[in-house]
Amino acid sequence: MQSGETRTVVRKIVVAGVLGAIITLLGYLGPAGPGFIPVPTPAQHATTLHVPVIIGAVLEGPIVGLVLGLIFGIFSWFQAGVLGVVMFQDPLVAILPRLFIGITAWAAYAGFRRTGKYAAMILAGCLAVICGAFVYWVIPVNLLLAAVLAVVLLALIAGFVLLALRENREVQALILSGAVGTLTNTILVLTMLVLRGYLPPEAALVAGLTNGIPEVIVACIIVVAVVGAWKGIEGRRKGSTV
Amino acid sequence: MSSVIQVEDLHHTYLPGTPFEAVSLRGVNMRVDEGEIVAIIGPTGSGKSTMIQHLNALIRPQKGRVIVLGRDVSEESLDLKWLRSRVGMVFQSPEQQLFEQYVGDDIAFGPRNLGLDRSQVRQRVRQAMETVGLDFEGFKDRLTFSLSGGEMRKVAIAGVLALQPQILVFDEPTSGLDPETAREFLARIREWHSRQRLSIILVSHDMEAVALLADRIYVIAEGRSVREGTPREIFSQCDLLRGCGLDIPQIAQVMYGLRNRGWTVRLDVLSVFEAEEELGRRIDFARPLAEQSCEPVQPVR
Amino acid sequence: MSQYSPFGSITIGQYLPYGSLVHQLDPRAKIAIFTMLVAMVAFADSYAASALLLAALLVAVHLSRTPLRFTLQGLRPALPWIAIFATLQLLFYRGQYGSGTCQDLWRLGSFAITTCGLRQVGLMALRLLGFMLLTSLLTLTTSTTELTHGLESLLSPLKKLRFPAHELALVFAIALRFAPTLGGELERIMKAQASRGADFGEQGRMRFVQRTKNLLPLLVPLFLSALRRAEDLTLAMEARGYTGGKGRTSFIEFKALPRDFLVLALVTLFCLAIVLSDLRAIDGFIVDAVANGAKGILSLVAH
Repeated sequence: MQSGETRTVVRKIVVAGVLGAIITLLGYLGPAGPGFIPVPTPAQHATTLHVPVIIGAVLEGPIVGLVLGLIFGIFSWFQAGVLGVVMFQDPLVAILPRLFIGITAWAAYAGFRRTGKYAAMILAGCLAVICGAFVYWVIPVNLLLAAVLAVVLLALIAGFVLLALRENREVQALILSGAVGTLTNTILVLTMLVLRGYLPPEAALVAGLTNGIPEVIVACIIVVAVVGAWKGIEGRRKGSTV
Repeated sequence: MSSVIQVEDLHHTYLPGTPFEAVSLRGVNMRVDEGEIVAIIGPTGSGKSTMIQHLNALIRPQKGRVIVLGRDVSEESLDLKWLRSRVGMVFQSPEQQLFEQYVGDDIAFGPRNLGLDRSQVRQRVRQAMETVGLDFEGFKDRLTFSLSGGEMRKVAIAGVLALQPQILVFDEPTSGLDPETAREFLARIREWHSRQRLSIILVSHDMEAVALLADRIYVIAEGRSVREGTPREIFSQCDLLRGCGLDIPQIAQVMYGLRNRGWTVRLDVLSVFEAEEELGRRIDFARPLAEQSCEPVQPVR
Repeated sequence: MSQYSPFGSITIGQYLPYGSLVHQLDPRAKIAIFTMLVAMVAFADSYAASALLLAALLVAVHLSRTPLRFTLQGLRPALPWIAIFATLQLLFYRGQYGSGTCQDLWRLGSFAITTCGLRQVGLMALRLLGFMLLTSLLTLTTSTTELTHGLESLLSPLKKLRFPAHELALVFAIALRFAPTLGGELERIMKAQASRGADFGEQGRMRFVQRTKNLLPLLVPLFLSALRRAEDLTLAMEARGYTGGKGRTSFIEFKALPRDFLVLALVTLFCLAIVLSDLRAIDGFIVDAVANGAKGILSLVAH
């Protein structure tokens, strides 16, 4: 028999491998496959390629999340090369931000499970402060946009809190990690795009909203469904609906 | 009797025009009558799975014709939902297609896709669960992924039965089941068949199962239908089957063995019961027959 | 063609054991050359450079004896993507090309097709071809085992910094190895759910939550199947005494031959030549010539 340490290392390698295979597969199939979901925003498609990264991070920890982020990044870099999307041919945009998806998703998941309610309150507070600062920063750009943004963000946070409060803690942790992982992806990629001068800040903002919101929702649904099924976590609804 | 399925000269090639091109079907003919149980046997890679996927238009014919319930499946205007609710397809290891958290919801997936209302869905789920032997109240709220393998398979099959199909196709229904469960399962197929006058198509490597259930058998080898007949006709052609890499039921092998040792017994025996009857009644010690060419297979130790 | 077999055309990770010159090259050399050429193709900003690279790749494909038609077939699933991006680029590309100015070919409000946009799409097409040829060339001529060991060997100097080169290479190998397997799995799941009346066709994009839920019958079994495979594989690896990279010796020992160095050197020289020579000038020359020719023909027709 081998030591428990070896065992977990082998498992981590293998889980990272098969989830990496899913990223490769979904990315390869493109919009025709189940990796992309048409959304009613100018972004056209919400991607789900980062979902395996979040799932890997939740199940096997931050290192697996990091490696899966690397695979996602390499794949998207490669695809950008194939498709001639100039912005994502820059590895600083395509690869670097993806490395953090798994780490933040894992931190959100593990942190929430350990500290529960207090963490949730602190987090909601932080989120509100960040959103407030964000809106304040937008005001000089466009007042109307800032107003719309404020309403949308408030509604989102409220809806999110309401939805999450009705679920049990395990499901809340999953929803949280899905949202945090996705936002890490969206925000960091857009930040890099702005920093590297590919996009003006206003455009990044709009892209962030049109991409980010549907992607958060899509990712949360899938993460909860998959991890819930794999670990046998029951949600608010006990029993079938027939 | 009217035929529900007719397959004529069906051809199929995978990935045509690539180095991975593989001819899967090169002329299959088949007919299934209403209320019949037809078994398709053939070695691995003979094209059985490809063939049955034509029956609910998962694959459209490249060449040849497939008529199901009077409709040509290559018709562009064919209503796929209708066809797929009429032809229930149970794939190999169907438990791997489960996705809902609760058993009841997973079984309800098909009926809901048909656009039935709540009470109809409930009715169908209840019926399908009772047919496969799952207690409706006891199982509908169980977590799907906490069930045992056998129970999961029952759930998956109930999911197909809930469509209330006229034709039921099973791809290797007993693979991965222990002998006890497999037997119970085959008995159930037989029962559904006699109760609902279903037409059933059975693709299997399990010759005992085929001998037990089938009215007729098609032998498929290298993408062609090579022989058709009743189980008695097919299983008395031991050389043909061995030539295709198939075998006959074990009890028939026993009879061949007896014949080779000079016993005049019938060879077209399909069950232990029949064999017992035959041995009790017709053993004739006086007249040894000519040697049969088919040697029984040595059991693996 | 079946509507549920879009995965049959997956060419990633498939290997054709033809034993050609390209097959026999040291995988480490191949990976290095591949990386170099990927960068070249990605940053090639002129028709002339792209064409030179493509020509070199076609020679390599010919030497490897892999069928070109098959390689190009891998493009098929990506075609919708490409069409969308080409249209967007054509309509919205506002970049300038070097010091050259863009001329409008067609304009409607804020939409415009400019010479620069056209050029961008043309370059994209060439780049696309180049990447396609490169990836399939690498995967068709190099087995996954060779790739993994090659990558590990190239990364091994980093092991001294406690970088888990072996483990990382293994993750990549499993990802590549299982992508087509899971593709087959996805196809089976799709067929099973379609048999239960599931509809994966186009619906309104307004109902994207519903659409996401419609995907759960595919994604949940796909992920569960992948995770189950991971369990099996973990057990299998442990049963065979796998204990990680430490102290592991390799069954496959690469030995770089002089010809590997020769090929590497040749490719490096070729790339350097492309980078150093001013191919844009040639491009400008060609573009001018074509434009003048077209004008000439037009004026002839007008007369």
